[in-house]
Amino acid sequence: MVRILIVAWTAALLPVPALAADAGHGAKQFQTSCAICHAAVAGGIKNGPSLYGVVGRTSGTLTGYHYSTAMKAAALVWTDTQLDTYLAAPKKVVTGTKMSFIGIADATKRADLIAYLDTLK
Amino acid sequence: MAGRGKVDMRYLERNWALPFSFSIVFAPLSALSSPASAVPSFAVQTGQPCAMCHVGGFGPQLTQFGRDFKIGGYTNRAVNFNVPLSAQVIASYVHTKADQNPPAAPNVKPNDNFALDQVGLFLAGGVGNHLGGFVQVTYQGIAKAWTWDNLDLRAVTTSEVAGAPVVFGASFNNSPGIDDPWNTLPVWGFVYTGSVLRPSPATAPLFSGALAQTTLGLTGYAWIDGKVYIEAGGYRSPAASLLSSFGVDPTAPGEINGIAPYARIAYQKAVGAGDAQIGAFLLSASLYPGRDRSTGFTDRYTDLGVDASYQLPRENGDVFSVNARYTHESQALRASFALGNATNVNDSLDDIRIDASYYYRNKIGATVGVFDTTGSFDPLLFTGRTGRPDSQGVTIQLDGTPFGSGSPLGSRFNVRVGVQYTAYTRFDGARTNYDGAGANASDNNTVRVFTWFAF
Repeated sequence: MVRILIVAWTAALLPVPALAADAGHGAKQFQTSCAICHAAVAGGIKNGPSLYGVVGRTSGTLTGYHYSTAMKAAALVWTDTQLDTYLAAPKKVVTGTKMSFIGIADATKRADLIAYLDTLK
Repeated sequence: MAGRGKVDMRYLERNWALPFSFSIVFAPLSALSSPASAVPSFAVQTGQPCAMCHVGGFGPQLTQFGRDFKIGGYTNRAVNFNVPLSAQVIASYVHTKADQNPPAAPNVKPNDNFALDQVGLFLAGGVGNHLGGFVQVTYQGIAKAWTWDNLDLRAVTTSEVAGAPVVFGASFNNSPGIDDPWNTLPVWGFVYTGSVLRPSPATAPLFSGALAQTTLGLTGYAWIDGKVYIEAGGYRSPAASLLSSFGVDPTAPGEINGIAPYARIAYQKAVGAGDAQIGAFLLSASLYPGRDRSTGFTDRYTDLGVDASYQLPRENGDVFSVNARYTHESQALRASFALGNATNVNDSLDDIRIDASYYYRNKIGATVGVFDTTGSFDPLLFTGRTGRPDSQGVTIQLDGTPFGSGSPLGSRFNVRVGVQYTAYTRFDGARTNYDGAGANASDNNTVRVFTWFAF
């Protein structure tokens, strides 16, 4: 009985694992916040560069898109962590970016969106 | 009385209560031709709520996204096709401190009028990646007449110059400054909606609306690296018969001799979490006043000005904005002098406008704007008691836009309700007895309550 209580107590003290980011929600977020300027397919150039294969890419390097000098100079590698930082406040991270999007304050929504971007490859 | 379907400019002149020569003194036509609002077909096209492009969730004050959309030729598109039609309806109640005698227009009371100001129809949208624009026709509720209104047709492309991205564009339009992306210039400046029933000073620079819808022009622009904006072009007067057929008085303000050049430059830079902009503009036009060529001379107006703005969007959706403009107008009035309508050949005007607004959650907004116009002593040109055009005052506006961030009726519907109060400390040359008949500037203080539907 004591052993059971110890196990239960220990389990209760363990940190609850964070809910996994939801790429499905992220796809909806992409349609709402990103699709007006960014394509989700290879080679699709709208007002912004295609986000197909964006994860792992270096900023300002997609051939065929005219990046701001600020984005090219930043030379950021779009890891999940870097995307999370950037999407929270794009103009703070890359001052001078052409992207006029103010950012996504909600960390869960950013995680969902990044989970969706991870699927674009 | 103007012909059927034509706006009678005397409606406006009577509103200003001065028997001036319309060909010489230019009052802003913004009351006649309000700027286009949040055009819902653009919202459908982009799949975005009005607040994405417009401060406070309603036009015409633009966010950075809206400026990019405009500079990009209205081509951003999230849906394959949408019906490119929109409409707006503006109605208001106007109360002035003192009755207007005679009334501001035929068939209205001297005071406390409820009126349909405008019904506007828009054809607005983008085609592919390079063409877009909008065309507006408006039913003027007071004049009871249809007129053509704003026109802005664009062709754009993007390229790279010396490693910097550049948007190149051309705009075919009917009002100098209509294609400008900031809200500092007169076409899209505060106040964003007006009424011909509200008393307005008789004098403003030529750039402040006198050429709107009475000209056609072509300009080319470049938006370099999201920082530098350069534009140049020219305007001409269409044939009188064409303007008449569009419902516009072809004699007001006159016919441009040759081409009126227009130039614009601006620089924008991120400051803090917002965007700061400074710029300059030039419009120069030689006019045959009232299309009268009998003297062989023209009146030459050169409007040179500077402007600045700052816009701070916050993550919670609030937006703080400041817009400012100073215009100096040099006038060489050889034609009007010869016609006996001006005392001096050379006059000048100086005009300052500053407004600041805060919009809370894209729903509730407060704006304060001040204005100050001063000019030369010219008793033939400015027929008030003092012979001067000076006017000065403040306008305060409170408004609500319940569906700015998204409407339960879909993105095709939006509405703004608001109240404006304008107080004059100087009107057409004086604080007191400005007309020589005992009228004071404060008699024109006006409360206007408006509703503005867009769908």
